[in-house]
Amino acid sequence: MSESPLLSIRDLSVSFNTRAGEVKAVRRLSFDLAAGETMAIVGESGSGKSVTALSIMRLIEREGGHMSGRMELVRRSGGSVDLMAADDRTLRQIRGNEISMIFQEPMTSLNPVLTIGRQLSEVIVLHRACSPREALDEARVLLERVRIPDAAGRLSQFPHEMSGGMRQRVMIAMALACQPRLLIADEPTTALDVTVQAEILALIRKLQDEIGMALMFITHDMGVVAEIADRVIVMRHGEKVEENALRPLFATPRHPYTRALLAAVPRLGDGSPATAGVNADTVLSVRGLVKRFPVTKGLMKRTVAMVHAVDDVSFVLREGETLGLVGESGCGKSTTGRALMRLIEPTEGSITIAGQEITGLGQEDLRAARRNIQMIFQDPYASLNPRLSIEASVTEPLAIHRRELTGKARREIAAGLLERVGLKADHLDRYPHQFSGGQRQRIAIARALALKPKIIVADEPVSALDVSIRAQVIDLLKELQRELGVAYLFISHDMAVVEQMSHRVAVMYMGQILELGPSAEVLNRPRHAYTKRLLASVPVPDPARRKPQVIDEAREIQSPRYPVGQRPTRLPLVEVNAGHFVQADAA
Amino acid sequence: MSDVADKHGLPTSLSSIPQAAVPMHDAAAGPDLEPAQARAARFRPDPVIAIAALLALLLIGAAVFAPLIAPFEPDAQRLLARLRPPVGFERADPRYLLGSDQLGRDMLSRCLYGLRLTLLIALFGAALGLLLGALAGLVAGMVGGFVDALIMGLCDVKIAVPFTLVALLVIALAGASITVLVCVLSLAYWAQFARLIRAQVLTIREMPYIEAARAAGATPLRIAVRHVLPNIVSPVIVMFTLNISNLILLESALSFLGLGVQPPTATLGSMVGLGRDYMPTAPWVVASPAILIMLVSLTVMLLGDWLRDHLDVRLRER
Repeated sequence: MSESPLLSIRDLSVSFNTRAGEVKAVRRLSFDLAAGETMAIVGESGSGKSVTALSIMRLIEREGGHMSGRMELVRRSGGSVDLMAADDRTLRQIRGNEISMIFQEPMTSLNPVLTIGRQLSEVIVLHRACSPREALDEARVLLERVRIPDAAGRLSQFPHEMSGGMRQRVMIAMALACQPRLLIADEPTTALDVTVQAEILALIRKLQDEIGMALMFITHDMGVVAEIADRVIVMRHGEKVEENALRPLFATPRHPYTRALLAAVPRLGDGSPATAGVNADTVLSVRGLVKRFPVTKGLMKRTVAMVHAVDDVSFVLREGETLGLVGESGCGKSTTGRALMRLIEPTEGSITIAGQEITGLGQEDLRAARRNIQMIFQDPYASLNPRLSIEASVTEPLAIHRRELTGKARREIAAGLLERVGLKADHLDRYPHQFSGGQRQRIAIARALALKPKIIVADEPVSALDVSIRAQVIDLLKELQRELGVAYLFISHDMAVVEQMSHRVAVMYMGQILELGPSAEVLNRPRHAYTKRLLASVPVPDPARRKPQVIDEAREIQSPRYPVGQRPTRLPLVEVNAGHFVQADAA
Repeated sequence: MSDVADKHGLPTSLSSIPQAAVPMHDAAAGPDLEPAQARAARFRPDPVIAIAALLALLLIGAAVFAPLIAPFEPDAQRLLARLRPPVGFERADPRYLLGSDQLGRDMLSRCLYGLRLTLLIALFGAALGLLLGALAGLVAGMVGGFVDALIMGLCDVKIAVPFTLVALLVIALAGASITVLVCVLSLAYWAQFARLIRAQVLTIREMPYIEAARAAGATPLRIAVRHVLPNIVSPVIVMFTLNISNLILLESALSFLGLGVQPPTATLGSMVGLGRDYMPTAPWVVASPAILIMLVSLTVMLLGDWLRDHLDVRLRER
């Protein structure tokens, strides 16, 4: 670490005037960042970590923030400047040149109508005196540096032709175009799959070594912190609650909030619920489930290819059991869940719920059959109708299926359900916007329980929640299962959460189940290469177990899209151990 | 900031600023807004709304009680008292408060009767258009497929064909009467309503809460009425209020072409249209109905905005 810090922030406060009055997003935050150092800022939603990042770029005023304090930056020329007082011209020279930023959404941070080469060379031309041709050449070098295969060919591609991981690599290349002295990364891997996240984290670390820049890494994920940071600042409600070097922070957290945050992080290897109690009746049996989506092209809607979203999936679910369905985005896990509800029509296969075959049922019979299977969705902000009161939302299934009940009886049931999920009965008359994300998810759970279903399909029910709230919701789900004997199909991309919830786990990839078995078996003794890779990619919230840097070239994720008539190869599942099945090639 | 905020497509975070006020540990308690206080806040009179409500009452009162208030018959001519200016100006006749027009008719009386007819035509025309468009848009959006293509095709035809021609044809066939006029005017904007509503339905239809309702076993009708409709009212109300002003103008255009309300019956639009020749010498002939049109549009728009905010539960209790 050098003598004087690269960036020195003193008493940074940011506030916003809202309809509800002044909101202080950041309160008197002070910290130093040395050249070449990696500092992580962790916190849950609303902790002010992103606002801090935007304040350093002086982009927060555009969003309506009022700032005060000092932000001293040592410039490349050697002089120092107070970012707070700098004029627009100076700031423009600094942004993108000395301080760069990567955002969370690689999907929206790139301009969709310009080619990758054009966008990259734009940044280069802006800050360096060079011709467009030289800039394009430089752009290719940058893409190679972020290990994008066939960099020259990529320059003429548009963002939509690339996967999320590739786009994030392009964003990083763009941010590094001018060899910044400070890179601010705001949740750069949150929107990515774990395997891609592992690649991107390794890449950022490698590049940091090459360029020698300081890195400010904003995240909510303690596992990612452990992988990347030298020093950590924990924020809550706009205040810094703790600052420490990485290892001591994890080993001996001083502030109770840090302790709570660390305790709430689900760790892979913490064990799963025992399968002992589960040997009851089968409530759901899926055999040979297939869902194909046609890809059409042209005016005549000619089918040019088929996306085999779900390909020959079979499993059973027993009473009171949780089957975890894990996989990366696009692997068909959500499609499977929705096909079970017949929210989308399965192409082939049979689905038996509580002894009743539901494929082929007419609308009326299907409505009746849905009493037995309910669903919880990922985004608690979107899964409750904002215009309906909580009572109306929770009682809706009752109003549809149990018409014999009076309004008063339904209200009583709803009140009981709310209390059951840890809310109050008098919350019935409120509206969704009055609740936090965790509370809304509780309401969604209450709604799913209204009909006393035998099965609940939970599609990423905790992914949108902060860690501390995530733990509470998981506990609630497990408690409800113990009491009511409901079976869950628990769909998630988060291995640690799946481990905590599930008795058995099924790993999906490209529409097929690769491995299925008791959680302890599959997660501790994975057989399939993909399962192993998936498990190895999960960031471990323990700095002592930081993974060695392995830089791969970016892999394009395979697509389950095949020409019409061609089918993906199906390999039979082979039992390798009691109840542990693996696709044949890995057995 | 939160991954939650980004589900709404915001690259960074700032939409979630108000969340800073939300407690992190969400246990049972929740944001305990004092209900009484919240209710008081909801009914706190907004001065702009109070004025708009007062204006609305005045305008409606004037329209409804026009026969009682008007000092003259609206069509009674007195050629000796032509183009008298309003009271307070030189050459004014004290009997004609707002002056008289080119045929010596009392402006005040004509304005009152004109307002009556204009409100009737515009409100019913817009309401009927909304009903037609809402039905078409909702069906197109919810059913999709061939029905959607058909309805949207009709919309395109409607927008492609000059409306005056259609109006001419309908009025030529059905005759010129107030009922026919209202029906014709309702045809003027149904396609815009249908398109707006269809677009809204298509967005809302993909929301997880619609899927949740389907999973709960709700019928398409229930989903349309209970889940989709309440969530699309905001833009529809705004469009409805804009429509009323448009219809007032359209009606005057039709009257000018001789297709609307037949002279000597007064509507605000036709009064402006017929008075335009006298603008340089007798501006009051145009001014009074024009100001009334403006007041009507303004009131409708203010009330529309208030209604939109009031119907939105998210804004109601702040």
